[in-house]
Amino acid sequence: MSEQRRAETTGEPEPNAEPDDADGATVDSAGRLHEDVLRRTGRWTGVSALALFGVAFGVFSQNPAPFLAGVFGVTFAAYAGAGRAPDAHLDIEREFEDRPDPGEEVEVTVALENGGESSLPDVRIVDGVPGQLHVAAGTPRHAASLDPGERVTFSYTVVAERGTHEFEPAQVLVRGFSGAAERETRVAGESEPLVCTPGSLPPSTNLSLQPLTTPYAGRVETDIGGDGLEFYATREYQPGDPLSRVDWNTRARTGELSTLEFREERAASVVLLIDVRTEAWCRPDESATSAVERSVEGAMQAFSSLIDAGDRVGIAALGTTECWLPPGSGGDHRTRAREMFRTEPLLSPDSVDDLIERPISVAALRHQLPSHAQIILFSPLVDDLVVEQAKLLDASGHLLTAVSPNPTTTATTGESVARMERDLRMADLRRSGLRVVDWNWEEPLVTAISRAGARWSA
Amino acid sequence: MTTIERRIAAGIGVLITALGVATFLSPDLGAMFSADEFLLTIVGIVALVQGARIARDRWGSELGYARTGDPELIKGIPTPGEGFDVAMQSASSVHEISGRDTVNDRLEAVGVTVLQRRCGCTEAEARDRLTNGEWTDDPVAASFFDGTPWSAFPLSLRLRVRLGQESKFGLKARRAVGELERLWTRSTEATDE
Amino acid sequence: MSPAVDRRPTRPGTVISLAVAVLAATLLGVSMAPSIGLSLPGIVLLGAGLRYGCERLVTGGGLALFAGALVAGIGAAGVGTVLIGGALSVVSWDIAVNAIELGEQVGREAETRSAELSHAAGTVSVAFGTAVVAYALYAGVDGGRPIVSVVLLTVAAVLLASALRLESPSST
Repeated sequence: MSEQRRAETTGEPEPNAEPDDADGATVDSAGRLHEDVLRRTGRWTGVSALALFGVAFGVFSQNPAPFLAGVFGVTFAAYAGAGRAPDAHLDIEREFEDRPDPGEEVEVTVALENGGESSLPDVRIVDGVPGQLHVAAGTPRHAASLDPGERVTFSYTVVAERGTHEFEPAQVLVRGFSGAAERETRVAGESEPLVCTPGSLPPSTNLSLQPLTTPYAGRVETDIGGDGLEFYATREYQPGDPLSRVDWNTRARTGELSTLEFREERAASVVLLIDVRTEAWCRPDESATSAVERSVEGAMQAFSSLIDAGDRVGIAALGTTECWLPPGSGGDHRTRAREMFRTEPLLSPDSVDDLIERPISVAALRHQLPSHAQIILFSPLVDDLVVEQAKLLDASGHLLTAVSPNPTTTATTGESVARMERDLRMADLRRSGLRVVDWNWEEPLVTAISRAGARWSA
Repeated sequence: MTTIERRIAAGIGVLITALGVATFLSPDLGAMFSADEFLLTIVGIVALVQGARIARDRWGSELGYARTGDPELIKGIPTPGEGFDVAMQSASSVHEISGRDTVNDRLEAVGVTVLQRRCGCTEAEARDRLTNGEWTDDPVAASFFDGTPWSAFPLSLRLRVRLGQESKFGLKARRAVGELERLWTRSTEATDE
Repeated sequence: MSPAVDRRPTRPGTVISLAVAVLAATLLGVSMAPSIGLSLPGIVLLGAGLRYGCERLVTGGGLALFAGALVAGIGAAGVGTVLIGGALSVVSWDIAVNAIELGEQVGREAETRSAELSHAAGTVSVAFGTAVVAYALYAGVDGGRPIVSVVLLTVAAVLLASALRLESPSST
């Protein structure tokens, strides 16, 4: 009756059992192997004492009744000693809505079936919810008793996040009737990952980003020719304007010198710079999404709004030059941006699993940026380095506005300290002349910007 | 008891049971053996003692069922300020000094900056204020920076801390943070930055 | 939104366990009033253990209930009553411990009824099977019972109980 922990493999399963099943082991999404673990729970330990107490009472009182009551100690000790955790062949299927939108609640229905031939009186399951999703309602846990072929379902609701989320193998615990032995196993189940990609960029709500981007006052001297030039306005001639831009028709008529301005010049060139460094990966509480995700959401909204307003918008990631879309405009550009938001690994929620320290190389970034491009930085501002770099970028001629989702709370002392530190950083940026939009976690970006805008024009 | 001993004991037990049942069923057989009340009492005492030992062992043992994790939560992403809380926890233990340093450094940096912004002092003046305890009315908060000895505080406070969950370092830090927060947010609407 | 799982003991088990314990105490108390002195604290301990998810309290409570049955046996209660009382106390304790373990592993929110009931069915059949057989053996044999056999059976019981004594669980 002495039991040591032994790792036991399930018997050779039927063809419809778990994948990667060379010897009964299951592989999870990180590639780790799981083998069954058999345990004695020790629940019935010491029940034989009942028999001894019964004997003692019976002897001292010369009464057979307590003596007889002691027999429970013996039978339950035998019951427990004989208790085994049955071999389990379980199948799991998960069903959920296809292609949900980000932020949408998705109900996952799990069906657990006893695919083996033995009855399982006590099955406990904890489903492997993907690491980056949290459960909003219901519970991914269940306990049931399953006859051979019997099927039971339960469901829970998760909040969809951008990205491809693989389900982990479910943790399943099987026991016999006595509960004296327990077998822990992992069941991978047949299910597709939960894929959530925004189909298109968010519609451009009137984000009133105009306060954020001032039209570039100077001009770039280039030989602009060909199509795509849209006449914008005329203005008074200033010495130094290229002769090719002079409005000769008006000159011929009225004798005045005036210069034509084209839309391309008037449009601002904006780069949305998203902070995807390790430090930015933080969140206010255990069920919220990450600050990087929030930043990306904000960037997508800003992109829509700016490109619809006619500005030339580009995308970059802070700390690396790999993620880069030069400013542009038009339908093609919009498509390219959508693809980038959808597929670029640095911008996806999955990248949290293999974060590496990204050295910020502002010089490299400045190299990439078109001169005088404005920057809108999306960052939670939870460390000092990003503040330094922001000031540097601003000072080198790229007007920088920061939109900062606020992942701090005041729940604990440490979090209050983090909040104050962030407030101080924002104040620091403002004192250096940069504009900062403090974006509270729950509010829509529109609200945050209009609040900030009111402040700037006050 | 090892397995062998177990088997022997079980075997003997079964034999004696058979004997007992036999003498039960045919009293003549029983007459051959003589039994004592004394013997019976001994057996009773042994049973009681052994039962007590088994029960005590059960009392001391932990149940060995599998533990389950928390797949409902998002894993791997910290909350800002978690590091500070962890440092504070470890700072309360007498043997850990590193947590204390982290807490001291961060709180000092925040304190100096807050005083600079809110009270309009220079950095040196801010540090002075912290070490003098002039920046706040709360003596416990002030004591985090100005080093007032713990014995200077009223007995009731010291007793409460002794009996409670929080360490005195944790209490001072928490109060200091609270005071700095009040100072910082007090005039946020008034100042336009 | 509180994301932490509620790991308190599950509801069906708690209800059934307490109901069975009350039944046992009533039965024993009716036939021998002083046994209440043990059964009632037993119920209290059981309830406290189920409230706070503490297995030790529950085991203490179960032991107290069983002791109540033994004490009732010493007094006026018949063998049948004692056997039923003992069976009920073991069943009540087992369902309670199961509820605590389930709560820890699967949480209070999850649907656990069928698992708990099937586990209880196992325990109940063993308990009442034992009671019936023991009663049958006791009642079936007439005449005096020689002391010698009692001694021998006692010694055998002690030996068997020690031999069958279960070890503590292995480490996980």
